[in-house]
Amino acid sequence: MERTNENSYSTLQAQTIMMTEEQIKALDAAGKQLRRGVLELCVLSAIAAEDEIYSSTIQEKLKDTPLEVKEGTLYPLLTRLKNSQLLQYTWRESTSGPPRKYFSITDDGREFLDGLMSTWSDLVSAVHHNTQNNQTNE
Amino acid sequence: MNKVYNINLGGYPFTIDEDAYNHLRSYLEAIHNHFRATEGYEEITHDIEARLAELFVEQLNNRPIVGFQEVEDAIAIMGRPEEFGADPMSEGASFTESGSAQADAGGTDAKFKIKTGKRLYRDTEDSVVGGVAAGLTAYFGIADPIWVRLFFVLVVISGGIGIPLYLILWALMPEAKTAGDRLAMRGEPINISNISKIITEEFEHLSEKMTELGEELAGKKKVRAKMTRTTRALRSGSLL
Repeated sequence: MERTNENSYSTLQAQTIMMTEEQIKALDAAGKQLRRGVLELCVLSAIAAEDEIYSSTIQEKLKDTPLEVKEGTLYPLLTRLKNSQLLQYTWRESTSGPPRKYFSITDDGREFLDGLMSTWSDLVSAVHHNTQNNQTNE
Repeated sequence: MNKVYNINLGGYPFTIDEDAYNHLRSYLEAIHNHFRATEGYEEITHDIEARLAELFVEQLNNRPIVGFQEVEDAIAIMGRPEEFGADPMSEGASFTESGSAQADAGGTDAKFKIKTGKRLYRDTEDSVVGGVAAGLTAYFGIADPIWVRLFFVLVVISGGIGIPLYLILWALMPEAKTAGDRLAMRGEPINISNISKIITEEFEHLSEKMTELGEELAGKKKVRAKMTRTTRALRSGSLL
């Protein structure tokens, strides 16, 4: 039963090949919903791990995981989190182009992230518990 | 030889090749259209433009002119609007939500799915009178506008309300002017590939009209030629 994350992700992809188009669409939509919720958590946690961080560094941190996104996805997310006072930014001069916005997490943001993290671990154990039960019942 | 433009991107000056400029402009238009309804629109698009400027500076490495390849590479990093599916505030969210709703409904009855996000416009490119019937056809997903037209004709013949009804609809329904309007009329998502599809269609429509006009003129010329031949024949007296 022990599988690494990467393995289960690739089996998921392998399974999609045998599905009908409708099933693939449904899975895709469900996956998108899941990823969307988790992305916010991962972006916040990436920012919380550093004193301050530039948007392209956040993108690099998510790279090569199933959560990899285009940089353009991050800007609306960062702006929204900043407007909710979970993030703040400072301008820094750059040697290669216009000044950069460096983001850091606020105290409110840290609290929010802790809340998200505990919700997430509750979810993971609940999902694990339920799917495990269902498999033994079969 | 290539024409160049001078642009200001994110407060930074660039010299850019003409083809690269057109590519960048259509990309930025798509970005602006995508985020126009999103909260913080100006800040988001400004951030994106500033980041594109930075990517250009990095890629150029002291070369003087931005070329097509630099624009392509920067877009690949930033992503196109249809690739931003992951933010709940972006437009992508409503599309995937309707997508999952459709997938849920898919098992029960696939035929009665109505495309979401349609808007009622007059389709003046496929019009007989004002484009009302063509617009209604697109809105309700009817295969051919002839049925809607027949309906109007029947209402006009059977009673008095047909003509006022048509005129009211004509006044109320806005004309589909832009490519975006035409996509909204059909309920298709507005992205770069769809907009270029519409523009190609419009171009074909235009060239069709041109050929029609050309044929009409050619037809008139023939008549005129025949007429002059007749008058000449009359003058020379051969017909007398």
